[in-house]
Amino acid sequence: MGALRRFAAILVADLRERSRSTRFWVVLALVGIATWWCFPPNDAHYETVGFGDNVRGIYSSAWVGMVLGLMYSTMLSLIGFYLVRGTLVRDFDTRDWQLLVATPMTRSGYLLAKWTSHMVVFTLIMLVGLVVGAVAQ
Amino acid sequence: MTCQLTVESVRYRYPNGHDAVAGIDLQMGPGILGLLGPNGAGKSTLMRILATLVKPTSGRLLWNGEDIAKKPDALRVELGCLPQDFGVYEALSAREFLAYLAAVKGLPSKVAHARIDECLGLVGLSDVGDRRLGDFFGGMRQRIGIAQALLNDPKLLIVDEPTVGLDPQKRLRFRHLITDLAAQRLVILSTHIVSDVEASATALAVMAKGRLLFHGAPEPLVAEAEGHVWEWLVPESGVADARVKFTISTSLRRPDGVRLRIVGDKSPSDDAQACAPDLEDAYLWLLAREGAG
Repeated sequence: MGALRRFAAILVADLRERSRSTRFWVVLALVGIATWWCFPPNDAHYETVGFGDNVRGIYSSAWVGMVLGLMYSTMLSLIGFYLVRGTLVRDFDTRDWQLLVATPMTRSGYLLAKWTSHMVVFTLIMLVGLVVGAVAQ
Repeated sequence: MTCQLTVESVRYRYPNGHDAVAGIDLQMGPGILGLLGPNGAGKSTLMRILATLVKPTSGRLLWNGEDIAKKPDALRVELGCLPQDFGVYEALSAREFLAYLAAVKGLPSKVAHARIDECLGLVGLSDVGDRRLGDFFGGMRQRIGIAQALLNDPKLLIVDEPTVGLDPQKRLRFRHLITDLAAQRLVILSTHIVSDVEASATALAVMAKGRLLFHGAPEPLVAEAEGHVWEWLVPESGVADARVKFTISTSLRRPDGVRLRIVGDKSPSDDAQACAPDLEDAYLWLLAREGAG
C-alpha cells in the first residue's frame, strides 16, 4: 500500500509540475494544429495521406484513424523523447532528489512513476489528436 | 524512544584520492549534536553519509544497532533530513509539495494532512500554504525544507546549515523549535555559525580537513580555551595589522577605538586583558591549535 501511495504521489506531483508550465500547453496546442493540418479540406492545395492523383479517403472513422495512426507513430517515435524528457534531469538539477533519496522510496518505484508520467503525457497528446480527428470527421 | 547512531571509522574518499571524511568515530544519543567546522571541513559530506544520500568508502554506520549499509530503510523511515541545497517543484503549492513528500515518506494520508498543517504552523507558513513554491523567497523556501524534514516526526533529524537565509527572528524561532524537538530524538545540526549551536547543543563535534578534532560536551571545549582569550582595545588604524597577526574572534567598534577579542597562545599586548572564553573563542582556539583555522 505504501509503495502504491508513493508511486501515485510521484506521478501526480510530476504531472502537476509539467501541466502548470506554459511549454506543456504550447506543445499540446501545436500538436492539435499539426493534427488539424493532416485533414485538409477538399479545396486545399495539399494532401497529407492519399492514393496519388489527389485521391484520398473520405473522413470516416477508419480513414481518420489510419491518418492519426500514421501521424502519431511517426511523430512520437521521432520527437516523443524531446516532448517528455527532462523530468529526471529536473529532479537532479533542482536537487529535489536529495529529499527523495533520504526516504524509503525505491529507485525502481521512482523510475516507474516517472515512466508512467511520460505515458500519461503521450496519452494526452493522442487524446488531442482524437478530438481533432473527431472534429475533422 | 531509542535513537542511537554509531559512526565507526567512516571514510569518504574522492576518486582523486582526497579524503573528504578521513575515518571518523562518533557515538550519538538523544539530544542535539552541533557539528562545527570551517568550510571544506567535510561536514556536509558526513551529513550526506548520515542521511544515506551517499555511501562511505569504508566504515560502518549503525542506527539502533542496524547496519545502515545493509538496511538503509531502518533509518530512512525514522529520518528527517534538511540538506544544505535542496530543490522544490516550483509549480506546486507548499501544501501539495508537503503532501507529495509525506506520501513518499510513507505517511498514511489521514495522518499526513494533520501533520502538514502542524508542520506549516511550526515554521510559520500556515497562511501561505496554498501559494506556489515558485513565489517563495530564500527564507520561506528554507522553512519549507524544515517543515518537510519534520513531516514524519523523525527520531533522527539531520539539518545542514538550517538557518541560512533566515532573518534573526526566524533564526531564533528555529533554535527554539530544535530545542523543543530534541527532548526525544537525536538532532544533528551542522553549521559554521557557532551561535546556532551555542544556545541549544548538548554535544559538539568539531571537524576540520575531514578529521574529527573534538567530540564531547561544550563545557570541556570552552575550558580548554581558558587563558587563551584576550580583549584588546586598538585604534582603528591598527585593526588591519592585528587581523594579519592574530586570530580575532569578534571586533566591536567603540568611540575610543576597536575592541578586539583575540584568541591565541599568548597575550597580543601588555595592555590586553585576559577574559573568559565563550564557545566561539573555544572553537577558534581549537582550530588555531590544530592548525586548521
